[in-house]
Amino acid sequence: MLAQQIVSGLATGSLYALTAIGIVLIFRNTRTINLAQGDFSMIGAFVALVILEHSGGSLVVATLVTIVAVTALAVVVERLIMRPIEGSDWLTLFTATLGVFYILHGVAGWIWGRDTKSFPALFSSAPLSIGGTLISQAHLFNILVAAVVGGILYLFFRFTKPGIAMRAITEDPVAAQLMGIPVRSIVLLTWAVGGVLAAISGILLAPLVYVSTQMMDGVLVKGYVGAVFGGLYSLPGAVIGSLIIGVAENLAGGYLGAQYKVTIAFVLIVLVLALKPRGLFGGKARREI
Amino acid sequence: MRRRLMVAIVTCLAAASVTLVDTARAQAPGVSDKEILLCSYQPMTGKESTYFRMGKGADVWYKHVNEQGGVHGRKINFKMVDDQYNPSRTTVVVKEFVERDNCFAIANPLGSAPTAAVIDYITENKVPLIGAGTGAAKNLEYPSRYVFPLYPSYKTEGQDLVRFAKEELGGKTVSLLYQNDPSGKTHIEGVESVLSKYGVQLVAKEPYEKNELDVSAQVIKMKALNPDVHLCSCAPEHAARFFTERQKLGWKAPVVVVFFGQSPKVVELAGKEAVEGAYFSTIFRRPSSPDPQMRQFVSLLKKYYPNEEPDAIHMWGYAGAQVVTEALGRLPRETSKITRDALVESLETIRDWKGGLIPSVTIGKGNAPEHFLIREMSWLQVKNGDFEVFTPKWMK
Repeated sequence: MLAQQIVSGLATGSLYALTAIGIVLIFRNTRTINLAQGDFSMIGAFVALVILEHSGGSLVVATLVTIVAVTALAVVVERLIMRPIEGSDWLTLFTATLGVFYILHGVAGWIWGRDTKSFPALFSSAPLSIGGTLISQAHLFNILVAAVVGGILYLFFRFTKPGIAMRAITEDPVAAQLMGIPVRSIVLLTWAVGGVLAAISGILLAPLVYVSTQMMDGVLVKGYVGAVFGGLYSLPGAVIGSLIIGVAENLAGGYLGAQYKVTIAFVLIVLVLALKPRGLFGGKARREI
Repeated sequence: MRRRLMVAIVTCLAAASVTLVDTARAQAPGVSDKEILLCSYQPMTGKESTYFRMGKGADVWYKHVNEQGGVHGRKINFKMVDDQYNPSRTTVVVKEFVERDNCFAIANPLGSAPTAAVIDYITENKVPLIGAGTGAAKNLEYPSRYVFPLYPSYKTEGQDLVRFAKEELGGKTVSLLYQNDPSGKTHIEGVESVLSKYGVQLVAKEPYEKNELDVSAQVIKMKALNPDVHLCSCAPEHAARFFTERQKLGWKAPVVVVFFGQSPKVVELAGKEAVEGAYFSTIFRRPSSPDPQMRQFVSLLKKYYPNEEPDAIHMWGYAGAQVVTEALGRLPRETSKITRDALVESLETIRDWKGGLIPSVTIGKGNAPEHFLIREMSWLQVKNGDFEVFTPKWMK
């Protein structure tokens, strides 16, 4: 049972990981904790569902259209809402994303209704057996996608010009601007990449958590906890933090009692912040919020 | 002289107060010559919004009645307000219903926890609470003549689940997944109360929270204990999560789900294969039944809510609303004689009434336990993704 609880916990954690990466990505470059990251995914899931219904079930078409739509949504949010208040303190930025969160909830409910909808399964329901423990193909794919996306973003930040520019903005936005880095364009690019991640996350999670206006609420909270756990600046940390939260939830549920599942994530985050204020992979001291 | 004046003043005041009382009796809140205001709290948004189907079901019937001219020429104004299945919000909503809106009765509302939060206030104000979608013991055993529960208690249903597990499926050990709220806890109470009677052992009882995305930890734990039968006191979405996880783990023990989990949504979300063979308790016939009442329900739902697929939860509201209009129809025609107490008395006159979706309604005199609109559970089994009627041995 222990091995199965751990593997299922990893599967649960994989649900949080892509959202955690999106949160970290936007936070690194804009000092904004984007509460709308989950709702970008929710909108993506609805868009994908609509496209699937109108494209004869073509997942490729649905994925492409969803990525374009959610990226456009993220860009619009950046240009119309976040850019006018870009110099504000973190609380103002945070509150603005909270507003976006509620607006997207309302708009989605208005357009698509409040009912929970099913999403076509992307994989067979037959699980894979790893050393006698079972994991669904969809969850395993989620873990792989989170790891691959984390890896690609790591390479992007390490070796590409825009990536290095983003890192420079993370270190010191004023100095970066003085060095000629187009900060605004890079910030816009950051939100766009966040949109791409949200679109992928929405499509991957939709068959597992079902499609509704609230589908990402729990994922957002746990993804945020995973991101903080991993260090809020670290992309691999976001993935590992999310997986640890998922495993901890399952172990608590399996051995302490199901009523401790929800609590354990927050107990862990308090412990980590008390012992290692910048999270497990937070590195050296940086600008704090 | 002064004494006479005082006597005259006191007499006038007494006469005025009697007149005021009479007027209060005569002018029931929410009733006019043209309209009766019925109010309902519903989870129109939020995690439990699947259950808003109940409100839609009731609304369908009231719309239909209004189209036919209303009850004695009075249109039903059915006011639904969103409480998001949040008891603290329900408290505010109901206070407004009673004190601001002057609702005649609270009709066809939804939720165990929301109802438990407001039932004291509703009955203290002597407002009839009719056909609430709740199975929690507090609401169903409430010692007030103003409470008319819709369906049998979750405690009774919990007892039936154990009986079904033992007598129908031959189970000696059972596990239970339940929603961590009054509905789930009342099911546990029912299950535990008859374990020794049926010689059944409850090897695991695992809760889930309403906002929980994943129940894998609970399912793995219960499977490891290898119960003969699994009982699921789950709402449709979590029942679907349970079935998905059960299928993944290859857990074959038969499953019996409570009636509020019985929805086509379970099959739609989890997939046919995952739910195949599972048993569900229920309080209504299937939507595909040829019964004329059922056909009328399906066609009216299609007419007023064309995007809704008919299911049991719509029927809770629809069937309860039919009983409400039947009772309203039995009231005197004169507005002055329509009171909340008269409505209670009118409901208590209903005996073996077969005019609605519930095959037969008989309401006793007394408090909530005597006032159920529906008294018996029946059973369904999923076959090829459809809910088929299943008759247990003891009902044959």
